Amino acid sequence: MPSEDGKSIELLQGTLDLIVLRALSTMGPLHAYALATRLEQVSEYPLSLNQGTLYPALVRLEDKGFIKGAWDKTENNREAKFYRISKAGERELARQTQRWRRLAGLVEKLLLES
Amino acid sequence: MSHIRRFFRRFVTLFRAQRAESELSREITAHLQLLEDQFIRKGMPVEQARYEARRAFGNVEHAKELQRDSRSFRHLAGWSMDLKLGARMLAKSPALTVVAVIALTVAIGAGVTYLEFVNDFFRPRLSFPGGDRLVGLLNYDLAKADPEPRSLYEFAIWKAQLTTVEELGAARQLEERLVTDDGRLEFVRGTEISAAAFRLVPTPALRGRPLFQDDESAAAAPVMVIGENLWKARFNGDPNIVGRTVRFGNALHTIVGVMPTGFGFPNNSTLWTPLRLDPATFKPNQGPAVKIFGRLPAGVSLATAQSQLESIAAMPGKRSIIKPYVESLWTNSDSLWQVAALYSFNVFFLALLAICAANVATLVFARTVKRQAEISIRTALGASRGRIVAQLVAEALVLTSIAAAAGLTAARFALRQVRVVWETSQGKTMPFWWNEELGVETLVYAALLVAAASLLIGAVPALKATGRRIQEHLKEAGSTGGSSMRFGKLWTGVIVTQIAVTVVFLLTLVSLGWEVVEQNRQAGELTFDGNEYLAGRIGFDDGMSVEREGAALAELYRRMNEDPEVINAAYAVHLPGHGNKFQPEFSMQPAGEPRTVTSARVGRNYFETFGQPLIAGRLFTPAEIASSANVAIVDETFVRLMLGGRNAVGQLVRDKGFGPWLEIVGVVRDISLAPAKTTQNATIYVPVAAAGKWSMRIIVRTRSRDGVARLQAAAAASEPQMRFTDVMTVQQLAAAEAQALHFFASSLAIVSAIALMLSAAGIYSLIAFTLARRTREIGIRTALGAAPLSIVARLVTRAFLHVGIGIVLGSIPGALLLKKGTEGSSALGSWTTIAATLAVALFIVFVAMACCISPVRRALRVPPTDALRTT
Repeated sequence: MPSEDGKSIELLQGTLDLIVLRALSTMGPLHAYALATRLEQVSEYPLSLNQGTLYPALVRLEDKGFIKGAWDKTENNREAKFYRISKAGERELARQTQRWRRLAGLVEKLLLES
Repeated sequence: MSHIRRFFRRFVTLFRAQRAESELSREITAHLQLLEDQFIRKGMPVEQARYEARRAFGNVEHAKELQRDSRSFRHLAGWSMDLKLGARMLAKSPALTVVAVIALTVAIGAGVTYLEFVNDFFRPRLSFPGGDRLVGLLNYDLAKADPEPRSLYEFAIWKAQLTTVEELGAARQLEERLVTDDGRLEFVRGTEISAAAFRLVPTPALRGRPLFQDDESAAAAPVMVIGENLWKARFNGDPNIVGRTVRFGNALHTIVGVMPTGFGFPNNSTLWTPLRLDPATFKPNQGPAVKIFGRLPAGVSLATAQSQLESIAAMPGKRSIIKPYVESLWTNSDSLWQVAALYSFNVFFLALLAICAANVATLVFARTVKRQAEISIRTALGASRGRIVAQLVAEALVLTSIAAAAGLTAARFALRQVRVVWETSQGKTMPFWWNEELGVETLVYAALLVAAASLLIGAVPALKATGRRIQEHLKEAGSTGGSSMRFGKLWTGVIVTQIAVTVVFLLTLVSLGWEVVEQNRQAGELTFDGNEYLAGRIGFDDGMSVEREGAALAELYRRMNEDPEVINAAYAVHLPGHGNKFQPEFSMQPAGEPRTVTSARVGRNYFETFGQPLIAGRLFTPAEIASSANVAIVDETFVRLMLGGRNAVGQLVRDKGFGPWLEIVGVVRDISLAPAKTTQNATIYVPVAAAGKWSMRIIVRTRSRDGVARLQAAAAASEPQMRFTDVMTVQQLAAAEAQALHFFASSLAIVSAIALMLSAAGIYSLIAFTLARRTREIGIRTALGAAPLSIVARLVTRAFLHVGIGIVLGSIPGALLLKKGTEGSSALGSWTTIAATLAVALFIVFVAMACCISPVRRALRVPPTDALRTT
């Protein structure tokens, strides 16, 4: 979702959790670095996302039981904590996706009408 | 659900902070390493790759902070330090601390004492095995919507068939003559009880044994177990008490044991005899009132027992209920509402705490102005609003915790006093399950009160002080001369309300204090010496006919009059100075404004006994007394105030415009020598028959020192089923009645003192705050030549306006209460009410002025040059 003027855009509050869940659901287990890289790639680099800002979202999602973290080795034999989405996380993702679509549709509709 | 899970995880992390921290460091290190590897793969040198990795990651410490915020209750993390700081801040403001702690101690102490009192009475804690399975069984009469305690018929059925309740027993209370082997006689309250009670509540006997099952047999010799108090008081703690015989009622009993004071199941008692009533001889709704009790076998639920009980007892028009003992042997179904009402009365104490906490919050807010610079600078350095609020709440927590500790200590003391007052006034020991230990519920309740009060005292002022105007405060942080914070409507409202409440309290105290003075004055001005007169209450066993009661009283009366030690004897419902309210309406004069006099029901020889000479007409004839005829005798004050001194004899009078007309047949001299009398002193006497619905008192003027024993002996000889109880001199009786009034007056005095203290502190903080805000202005205007005192006077005028509003708001209800409370008083008329109200108002103004002294002196001490330098 590149911005037209090429400037980075701020994430709306609460959307980071949804994005993380979606990434884990699509890509399978990922560590924080891979997750950040993936988000930057998909968004074609307009997201203003310091990689460190991912951590509160990961703690939040883990505490709620939507993702589960476990230490493992990367392909380069580095240790990292891999996160995978849980069943509760999949359900939450479905709920949040639907909610986001409704909200985005409504905003879009309002913008078109005015 | 996910939120609950998250809360739980955060809570757990509170205690595993170190582990979480090392996990986070490990994860961030791994993250940086992966980033670094990527940059190296792109061809960067190691050092540059490390630098770029850091840059891409962002501020590591910031990331850690954010993660810490998410994983735990961030604001709790520094609480130990906040609490230390809080204690230090309290030590720096000793006046505020003392005022706040006293007010909160009283509020929290009163709340927890009340809760513990109600809990102890209605939810007693029984520590012995099976104590939590004790149950009470009661019958409920559906037609009368009332409990039916005459349940011996059902008791027999339940005992034979009920398997879900074990150790079923019954008890009934007795009041009988106890005659010891030395010939001494007194009436004591005892309990006829199933031996099962001693198995249900396994308390070892001090001497001998408790009652056994065999003692219940009709063929067994009559035995008795006595209580420790009786053993010590009546038998001087005789170590050979077991085996001695006493007469209780009509039978000789052998004492087989002594139970300690701790035993008193199901009610505390002086002595216990085995229940030998044969239930088979009683029909439904017949026999004495009994309490039935038992224990659920282990594993049997209340519902199971109830279900079996209902299947057994299909009594028409009745419902049988099993209630758990610990919850409701006393709280049977008809008093559940009363229990709910008793618990809901706690709202009063919560309101008291809210008022005290609101006032303390006002003081804390006023003090916050001094800390405004500190708060603003901390905000500028990055402290969040939540962090600052948390610190101020922590300070409040220290304050309320000290008050709670003091309140809980005071509660234990108060509960000990409750025992003393109860045992003195009731003449019997407290129920065995009563204890002064504070229960877990009470401690939890105290903790909740502390939390609520801390939030109110800490959070509200803190939120106010860290609001949107914080930027303005920040600009002023460097200056020394003033503050942009305002004493808002909320705080001003609290102070105005507090002043109004104080005025009401003080005027009520004046009213109650006057009543005490009046009572003491009247007691001291009676025409007879209360110490010479003995008065006791007469009672009869259930089921005695009115005729037999009348005959018994006549016989008692005859015996007393024949006793050479007795000067005079009479009986009456009311003692001198007491009676019911009576609003006279006369047949011969139009009804005017209703005025209340006192009406006393008196019997034979009353006026002669108290030495009230007849002035006009005649006294009651024996026939008029025997028939409670519609005649009356009035005193001089009645004639003077109600009839304007006209001849009273022959007038017809009735109460409140209805009821029978009473013919005034005589006028007697006043019983009081008080110089200024009001309508309340005016008395109308009506005759009352000795036996009937009224609870009668025998009054005896005697020369004998052992008057009480003589009276009781005479009562016993007159009628075996007659009791003569609560015997004391008229003076002692008056003192006992005055005690309650004194207690209320003292309690109100304490509450009023606290209200006054809070008001004074509130006024002080309002004025100090106002002047602190305007210090710079005062300095500049002084520098420009204005007289400092006139500037200050103008500034405090607004504060005094609020004081005035509070006084006016409180004076209206306060004066009405005072007028109502002193209605008919000999010395307090409308003008005196106004004078008292004005005096209280002036007193508050005086207190307010006293509160001004220190802040005004402080404000005037700022040199004008300093003020000019800060502009």
